[in-house]
Amino acid sequence: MNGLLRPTLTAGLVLGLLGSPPSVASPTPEQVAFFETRIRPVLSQHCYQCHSADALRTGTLKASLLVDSRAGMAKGGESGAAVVPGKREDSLLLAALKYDGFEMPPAGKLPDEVIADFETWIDMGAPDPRDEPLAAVDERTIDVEAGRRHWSYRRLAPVTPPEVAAAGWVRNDIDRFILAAQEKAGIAPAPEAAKATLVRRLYFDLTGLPPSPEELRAFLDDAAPDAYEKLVDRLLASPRFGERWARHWLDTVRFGESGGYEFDGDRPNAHHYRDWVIKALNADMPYDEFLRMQVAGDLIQPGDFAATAATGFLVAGPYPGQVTAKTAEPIRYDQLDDMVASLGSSVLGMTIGCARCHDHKYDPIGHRDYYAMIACVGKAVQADHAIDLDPVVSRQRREAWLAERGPVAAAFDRFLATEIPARVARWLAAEAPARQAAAWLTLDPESMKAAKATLAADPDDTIVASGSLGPDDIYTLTFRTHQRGIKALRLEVPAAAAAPGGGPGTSGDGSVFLSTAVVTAAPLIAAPGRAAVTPKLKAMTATAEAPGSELDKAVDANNLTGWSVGDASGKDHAAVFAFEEPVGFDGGTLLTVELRFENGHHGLARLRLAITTEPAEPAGNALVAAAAPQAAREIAAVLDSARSAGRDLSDPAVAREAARWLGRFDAETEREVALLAAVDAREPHPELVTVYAVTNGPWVITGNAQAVKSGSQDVFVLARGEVGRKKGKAIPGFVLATLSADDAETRLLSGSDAQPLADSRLGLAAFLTDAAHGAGPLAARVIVNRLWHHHFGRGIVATPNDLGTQGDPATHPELLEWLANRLVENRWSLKSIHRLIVTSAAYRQSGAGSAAGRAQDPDNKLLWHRKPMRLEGESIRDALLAAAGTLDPKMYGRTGLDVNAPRRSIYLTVKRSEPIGFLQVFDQPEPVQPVGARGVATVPTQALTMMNSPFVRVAAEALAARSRTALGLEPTAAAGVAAIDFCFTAAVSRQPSDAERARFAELLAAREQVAGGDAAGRQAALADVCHLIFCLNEFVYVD
Amino acid sequence: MSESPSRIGELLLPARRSFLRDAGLGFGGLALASLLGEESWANTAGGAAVGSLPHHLPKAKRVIWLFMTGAPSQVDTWDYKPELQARHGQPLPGADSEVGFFQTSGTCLASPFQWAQHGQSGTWVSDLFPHLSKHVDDMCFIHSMHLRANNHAPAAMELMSGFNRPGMPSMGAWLDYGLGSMNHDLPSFVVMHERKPRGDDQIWSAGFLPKSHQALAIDARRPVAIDNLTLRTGQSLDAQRAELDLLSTVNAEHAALRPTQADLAARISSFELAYRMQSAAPEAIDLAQEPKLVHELYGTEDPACRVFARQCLTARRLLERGVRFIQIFAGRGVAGDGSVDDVPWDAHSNIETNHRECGLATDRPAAALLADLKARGMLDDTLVIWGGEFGRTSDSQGGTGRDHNPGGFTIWMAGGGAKPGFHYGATDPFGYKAVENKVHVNDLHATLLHLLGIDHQQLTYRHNGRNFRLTDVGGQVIHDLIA
Repeated sequence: MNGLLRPTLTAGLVLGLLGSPPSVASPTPEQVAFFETRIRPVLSQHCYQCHSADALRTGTLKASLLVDSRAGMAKGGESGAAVVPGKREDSLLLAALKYDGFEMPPAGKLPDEVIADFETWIDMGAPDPRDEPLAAVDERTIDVEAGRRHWSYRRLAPVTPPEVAAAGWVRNDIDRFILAAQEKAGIAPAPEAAKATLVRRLYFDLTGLPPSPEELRAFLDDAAPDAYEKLVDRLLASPRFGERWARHWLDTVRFGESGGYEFDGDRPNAHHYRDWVIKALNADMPYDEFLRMQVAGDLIQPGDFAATAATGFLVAGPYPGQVTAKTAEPIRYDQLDDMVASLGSSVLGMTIGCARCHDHKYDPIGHRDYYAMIACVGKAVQADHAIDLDPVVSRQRREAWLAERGPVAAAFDRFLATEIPARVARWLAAEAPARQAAAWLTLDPESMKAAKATLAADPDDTIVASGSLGPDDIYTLTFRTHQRGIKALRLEVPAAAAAPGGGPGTSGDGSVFLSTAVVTAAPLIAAPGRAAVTPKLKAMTATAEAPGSELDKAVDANNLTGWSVGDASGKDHAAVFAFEEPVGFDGGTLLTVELRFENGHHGLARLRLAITTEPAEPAGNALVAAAAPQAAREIAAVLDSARSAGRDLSDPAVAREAARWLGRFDAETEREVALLAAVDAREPHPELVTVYAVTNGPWVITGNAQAVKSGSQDVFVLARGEVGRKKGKAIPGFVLATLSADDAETRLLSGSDAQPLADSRLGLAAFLTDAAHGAGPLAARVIVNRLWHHHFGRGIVATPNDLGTQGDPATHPELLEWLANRLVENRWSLKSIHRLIVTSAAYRQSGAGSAAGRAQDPDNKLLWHRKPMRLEGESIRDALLAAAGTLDPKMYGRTGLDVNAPRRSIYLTVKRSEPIGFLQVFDQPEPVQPVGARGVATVPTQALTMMNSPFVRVAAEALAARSRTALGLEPTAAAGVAAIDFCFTAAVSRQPSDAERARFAELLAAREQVAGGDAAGRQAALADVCHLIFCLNEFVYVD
Repeated sequence: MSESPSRIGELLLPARRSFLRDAGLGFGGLALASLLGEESWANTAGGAAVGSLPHHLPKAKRVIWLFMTGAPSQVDTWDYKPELQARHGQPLPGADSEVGFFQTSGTCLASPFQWAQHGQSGTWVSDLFPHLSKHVDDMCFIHSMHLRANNHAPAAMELMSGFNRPGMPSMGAWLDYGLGSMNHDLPSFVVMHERKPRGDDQIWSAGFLPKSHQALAIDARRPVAIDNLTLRTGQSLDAQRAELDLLSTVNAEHAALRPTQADLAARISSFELAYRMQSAAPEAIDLAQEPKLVHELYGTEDPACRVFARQCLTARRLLERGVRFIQIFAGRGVAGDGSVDDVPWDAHSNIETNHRECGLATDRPAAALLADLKARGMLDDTLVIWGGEFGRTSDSQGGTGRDHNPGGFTIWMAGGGAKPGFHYGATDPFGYKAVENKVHVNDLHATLLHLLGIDHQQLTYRHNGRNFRLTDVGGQVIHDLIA
């Protein structure tokens, strides 16, 4: 019997309390007859097999439910009472018979008449003469107090390293624990490994890369007694350290850069989390802070890029790519489950996901604890945030710019005050009347952009397309105007001599085909009652219309049709659209005109737009009516508008707007406007980087084709984990057995008086790392065990994701406790633990083992020698690039899926549907669930990869070329043993033995003979040798 | 360091068992029987609760699963419902707003196909399957299949792994883990696809099982079926042989000094196996070796079905050579119908045009496979399975289409100990929901494992603190289905 689970006998209790169910005090004979003829036979035939005392005896009882007695019906099973007399809706038995929630009996729904009988029976008060006492169901309940005594849940306790006989072997306290266990078993440790072995071990272990030949030489030549310790310090400080150890962490947090499931949508901004992990590990961020940031960085340091990126952990899991109203809610609970189950496995070494449907079967984790935990992250949703990387610098830049702008703006303001009123008056008197006669105003673009082409405006407001003139372009043009009551828009498309076929279109024959024209009018100055509008356009007239492609086809809803001038290309054309309702706002309007050229049609080479406030005539003369530049009438419009608001040019805002248009006609004004515009154009904008991470907000999922929202942020406790069976709102909280006492939950959730916590996710962060009251001791034990696992190939607990009752027992429990204590004492410095481990004598052992060790402990649990460890796929690939000399040391960023990219494997994109073959074949785990210990399989596909994959061949070629260069060999010179030595050392960090050298020399000679004496032959022959060196066991197994 | 090179052979011997365990039979599922016989990973995984495999005498030695990607409609294929035909356009009794993935009309949509009875069993089949309908007396129908997920990827995962989420081992991987390989130099678990089905490799994942149990996926679109089988330019088998001899020697010396790491010996053997596979695997999938008559039987030149025909024929060659579990994700859909060909049978907008095209793409090759296996005497111990990831609604979606329906659908089995000419379970009179003798995916898996000689409750793997099974915590062997 598991010590943490307490069997309780409930039968007596239930009977004692209830006597008989408070239903029908004493059933009438008719009621009994009804039960005996209509109800009991059904129960007996369809239900007793799994829900009776007999079933209990034979071990086939399901859901702790007994329906062979009245008491059993009343008590019900795991989900509550089976029958509530008189209450159909509360009687789960009835729901199950109706296949509503449960589906009972499972073999098929009973006939409707039978179900109707049960309804009748419940309505009459469920008369039931079966007075048999309720059989005692062995119910497990979580004993929280006992749970707190589980070894990994306890508070940390000080441990004294044991005394050992052979104390001379001990380098630090780790060794006392290791040696004591060995001495007890009568085993002696292996001698220290040779320096050449240690250096390769240490480089791969701490950096995931082999030492370069220079680094190897430097260490072997360093005779100082602390040469090894110095190397440890150097490697722990290397940026390569973070790259290596981040990969281990990413395994435990199921890190991926796509959504998985259907469509496997990319998360192009998810790699910032991976980069954050690398930086945090390199900086030796205290592990408690490391965890808190991943759970609640966005709340701890709002707006901070790094803190936000850290929360990528919570949302790194796979999510369905297609969601509809029918699946939204279960998917949301799956997402919460992913967050909490992943936290449980990776941080707490706990299989909390097992408590989703019921209390954990083995560990003291309640169903209640599970829902308390998911309630803590109930508001957390995934989002792409655009964040300023460096707000301090941004602020400084802005201040500098404001300082530069100040005098220019002041000068401009003076010009507005002193010059503009007179200049405007002068211009109005002299020139305006002539220009105001025109019915049409050509629009002076404020901005122009196209999906493909490059657009620019001529002085006469003609917009000219150049650059990439492909099909399917979209032009988006904006204009400012102060005109009111704008009634029509004219599109002029002059023939463009430079365009193919003489224009106006940019296709080869100059044809015009406008699929769609859309105009949006937005107020320049927001005010109540002023909302952007998209006026309906009406086709009025055009210079030419091909049959079936009349102008109205450009304003219909169909993007397959459009306006074409047919074969009349090479000429000037124009078209007029009327607005169904006149447009133009008080205070000015921003007009956006979108011209779409779709379904393989090309854009226009030149175009000009004009507006009119006069009614557009359907006749053709509107096409050629005279136009004046927009500016001419804008000044008047600005003044009119100001006047009606009781203002004039003495108001700087009015003067500024007038100056803007006067610049078209007055050189001095244009210069002044341009001076300020030049400064404004230099306005600094913060460098925003988009990061995929957590935000607090309503859960909104955009599926494939349909956006589905699920508004509520409430999390409910779900009976048996089913969304259809909500049992009330889940209250934030934690796994009670990992707390120092029950009341710690409230304290951790609420924070201190000085610093109350606004969000339960902050409480969760505190809980995970609080060594005094929360799960901090467990988190510490879990992480030191992970470090040990990677340094030795097996954890002190061999199941790093499970330190619960079902996990493997610790081989050195006191050592684990001692290491966890060190971690917390050393302010959670992971590097301090790494240093302790790799400088221990236990770590520095050679592979030579004693006969006693092999006999007593063939699995090496007592660590009496060092077993060669196979490199992970990532390290094998990195080692190939390193030996080849082609490894790009660039850090961070997004690399993509190409295995040939010369960057470290950790930077290759993790796409869930497209694992990288090279890494997968070497046991890279699926990024779906946390993985604590990778499998290591030996399969022929690995051999095929090493022998035949282009990636390995390219590395072999590169190593061959590198060695020839290093040795100064002429291109046609035969390579000698020096080249063999060079390549061998680059690959396996040692010189070949004489026998090995002779064998490879023989192969080289044979290949050189076949390949011929030219440069290519020489290179290929040496590459063959390099290729075979890469296939050596020694290349992938590190001693 | 007491071991001398002369003891290498001796050292390799005890390592063999560990190799069997660690190398398993992988080819990334590639397997290797000259070394392994039929020994399985699970049998050697000391302490794992798998019992002695097989647990009982198997009726089926191998499985080929014709996966009708996108989900064919049961009421337009094998589940004839006169009541649905009669009530076309009328409200569907029992219409349930929870069924489906999008929105459906609640109005009965009659099957647009012609139905007739076939064979001694009098099995009703729609006219989508003029070839397969000749084999109904070999088929064992389950009309009452149901599962939980109502979208393609999670449902395909559920049908393959018992869980409607990624990361769990699929059935092929479980079998490779449990039973090992039956052949010398081919994978034990092969998947074939053209456009990958929705959910991609996640559907046939080895999940948390060792990577050696992974499927070999053969992509019909790629000229090279299997990665890294081709020698590099300029390399010959003879030259490679010489290299491997050198490699073995150096590796053996290295291993001799490291006697406690048994994987070193396994890795030496793996290079020898890889060497042999370079010749064996291409031969196995070379259809040019099949006679013209066989090509005609399958329809490998018929543009309507050539992709699936080539897949079925390749599958038969692989089955003959000892591959244990093959899945073909099949059926090409029609553009213009709105369906996309990663879920070809997904007839949301027009059941008639979509299913007609998918029928043409799959009917003849599937029937040819049955006939061919039978003619070779292989059908007796080869289990053929036909079905999609769920069924479709009896009410219409958008007038002429049908939405997803995991509540009731039909799959059939043939050969391998499945009861021939037999119908099990039923949907309601409208084919909408399974009501009689319902068969959950867990039950199907339990039954399939039983046919393969495995007690589903005993085939387990320990992962993250718990023993997992293909059937999770459910599953009942349905003995009625077994001949």
